[in-house]
Amino acid sequence: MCKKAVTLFVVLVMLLAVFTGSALAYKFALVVHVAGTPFWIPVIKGAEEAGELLGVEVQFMGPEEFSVEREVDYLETAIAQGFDGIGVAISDAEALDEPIARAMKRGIPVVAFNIDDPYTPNERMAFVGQSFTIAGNVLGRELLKDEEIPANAEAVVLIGEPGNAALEERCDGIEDILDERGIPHERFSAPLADPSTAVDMMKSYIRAHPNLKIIAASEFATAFAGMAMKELGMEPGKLLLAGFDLTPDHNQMIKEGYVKFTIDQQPYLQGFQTVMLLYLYKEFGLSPTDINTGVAVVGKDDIDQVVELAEAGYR
Amino acid sequence: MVALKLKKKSFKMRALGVLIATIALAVLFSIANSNFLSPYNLLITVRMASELGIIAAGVTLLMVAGEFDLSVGSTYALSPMVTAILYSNFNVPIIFAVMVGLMLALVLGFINGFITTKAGIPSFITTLGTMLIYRAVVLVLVGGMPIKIRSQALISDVIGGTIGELFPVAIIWFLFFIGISYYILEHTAFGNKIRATGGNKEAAIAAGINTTRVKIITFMFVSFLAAFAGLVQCFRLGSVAPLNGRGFELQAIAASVIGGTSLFGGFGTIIGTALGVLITGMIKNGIVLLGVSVYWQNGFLGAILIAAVIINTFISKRRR
Repeated sequence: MCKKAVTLFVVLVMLLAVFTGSALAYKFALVVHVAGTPFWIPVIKGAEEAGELLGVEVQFMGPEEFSVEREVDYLETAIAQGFDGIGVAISDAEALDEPIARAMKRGIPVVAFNIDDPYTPNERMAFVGQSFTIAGNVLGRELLKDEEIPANAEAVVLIGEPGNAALEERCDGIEDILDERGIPHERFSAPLADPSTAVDMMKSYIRAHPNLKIIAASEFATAFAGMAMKELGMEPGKLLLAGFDLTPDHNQMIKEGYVKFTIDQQPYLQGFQTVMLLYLYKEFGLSPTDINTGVAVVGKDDIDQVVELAEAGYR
Repeated sequence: MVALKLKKKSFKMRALGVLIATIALAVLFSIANSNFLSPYNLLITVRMASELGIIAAGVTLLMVAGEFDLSVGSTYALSPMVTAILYSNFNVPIIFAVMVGLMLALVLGFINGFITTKAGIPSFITTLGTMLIYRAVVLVLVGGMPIKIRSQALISDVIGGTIGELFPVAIIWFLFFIGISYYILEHTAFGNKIRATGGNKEAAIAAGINTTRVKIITFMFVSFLAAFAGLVQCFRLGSVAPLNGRGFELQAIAASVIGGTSLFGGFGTIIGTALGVLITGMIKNGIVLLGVSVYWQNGFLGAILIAAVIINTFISKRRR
């Protein structure tokens, strides 16, 4: 038995050695705060395709569920294991400061992507992604544009991960516009990772709020709100819905007219450009600069084309 | 030869099994990537295990006493959150804020123990309930936003700083609490009472042991450790996020079980738990090292957990 165990061990080691050997010029890490959502699929594709173009290995990492402390663990691991460059979603304005500073001190360039830390000191070299408060503003304005809002209308703002600074900022941005228009609003949280529960919760919420006219999400929970409307037998357009990001459910609800539009932050670019910036810095010493990946409003008219691109992994 | 001598005492055998597994994993990782053995990477690996390790030490004591605490992850967030709020929003001196956080933890642990023993319901249920309640309190307190806690005070360095450039104090606290828990379990009368309470409650009562008291004190100790681990983390990172520590309850139990702790009480070693925790840290580190998809991480942990329990069962059967 002992012999067998030793043989197995040796084979495993050899397999590992084969798998982990790499001859590429650089090895970059992309570190995120929640790896278990479909959002990252285009980000990873963008990063990998940039890697292929440049001859760079890209490794994507992060905790399955939203966790700042576990993200720090991954970041520190990447620093300790000698990655040549790191892209990181700064999910907490404090917690990632020190490890990022440490990486920079050790000569590992760090570029923020997806979420930035603009209000407090942070040593990251640049940011690739969306400006969240402004994106929230855009959503609010776009949603209310050309719509007649009854005087007693109420709004709800959905936040699937309370405590996620990016989503909180988008909510703030949306609420700024609702305040401007004098529309009363409150926040509600439907679990993003559990669609059937989320749909049930949205059904109860809609039933309990007869004056509800607007559902704005800081993420893609509007998909669940749309399904809830459908299950309640409401006409598309009876409530005004808009959210963020492209997911299959969300896209379908836009097609059917339940959700007016979604705002796409073009995540493919976030992966692609982050790798590009790191590479250009390593290879030619070019300083990384901020890249705004945009606020692309996707409504019923564009959705088919966008879905095609999403299926290919680009949107 | 050494192994033969140890065979007489199965608990040592179990710890030896985990030790071998720990070394085997380390060898595997270092062959796959030489970076694994770099001092900095080893430090990070142990550091990643430290906070969980502080909690797991207590969780092992509690499991030996025949009870579970699923609320440790929530306490790990709630106590430091109260400390951070008192310090950052109410300007309470940091040392008092820390003390309030730790005392709160003792209260939380007392609630767990009191409900479990007085109402006579399984601690699995009590602490499942308090896990949800304590977490809800955290979210109600801060509405989902993380709270900053940057202090220049000595105490923040002592609890969660670094020695020199790189050496995290967390590792020292991990060793310290492992040491304390080891001493309690192996070398004190209270340790014997814990083991008797979890091993055979009726016999323990017959022997004059106040099992209720033993359990409540152990619950309080676990909560204290969870809160302390939370403070280590929050001083290290400079902020407390309301969702911190989710999943720690099961990871702590997993680490204890990998280390040979029985799910049915009465049996467990702190050394085994420390190694179990190191294994979880090595898996976290090794996943990145091997370039394997991070989605595998918990899968590996699960496989090792099951393998460990099968081996432990095998060893104890052979012994009979």
